[in-house]
Amino acid sequence: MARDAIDLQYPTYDTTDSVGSKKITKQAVTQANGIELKKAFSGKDNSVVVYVENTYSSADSTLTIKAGEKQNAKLGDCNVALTKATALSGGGVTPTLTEVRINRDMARFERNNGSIYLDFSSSFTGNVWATAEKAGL
Amino acid sequence: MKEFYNIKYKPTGYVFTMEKAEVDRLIEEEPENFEVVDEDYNMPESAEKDKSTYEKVVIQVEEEKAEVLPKKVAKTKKK
Repeated sequence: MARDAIDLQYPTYDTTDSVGSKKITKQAVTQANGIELKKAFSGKDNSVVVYVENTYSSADSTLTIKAGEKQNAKLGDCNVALTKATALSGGGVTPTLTEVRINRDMARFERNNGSIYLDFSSSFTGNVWATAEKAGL
Repeated sequence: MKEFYNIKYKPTGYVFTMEKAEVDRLIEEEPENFEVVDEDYNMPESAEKDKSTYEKVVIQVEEEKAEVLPKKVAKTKKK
């Protein structure tokens, strides 16, 4: 099954260049597919942040950042635990948001086409998106 | 019926409750980062035998260093 692709989302800064903002577009996760974060290395260095909105409330889940295809891939996959959503007494859930910074050793996860693969544990449901600072001036 | 266990993420100390299959996977792949809190948890056999990827890499790097670095030459006294 092909992975669902997401792109980095870049904030736009105000005229004083002090504050950046961005209306976020979320990607619903289909657990069986996984996610491909495309052009993950096109942002400014050390600025990629992945956000995971967890709506599964029965147990905590896991995000796996897959090892890439370059030299540092020998360090293997990296797992991040995700706190479960809070079930509401009247039905429905309050999602839990986890911020994951992939900005120390990104090359460990780099695929040959410059993307990064993200997988989720079997029962996970929720949304994902990624932001970064725009490279250049 | 699904079994759930409490697993601690060592760097933060936070405890997460996960399905056994997921706990088994984390303990096998990253024992340096995760540990199970529950005493009644039975570790999968393969996790006991295998070293984590992290440990394997450290050992591999050490071995590579040993091959690359020249042997120390004993100092000779100048006459």
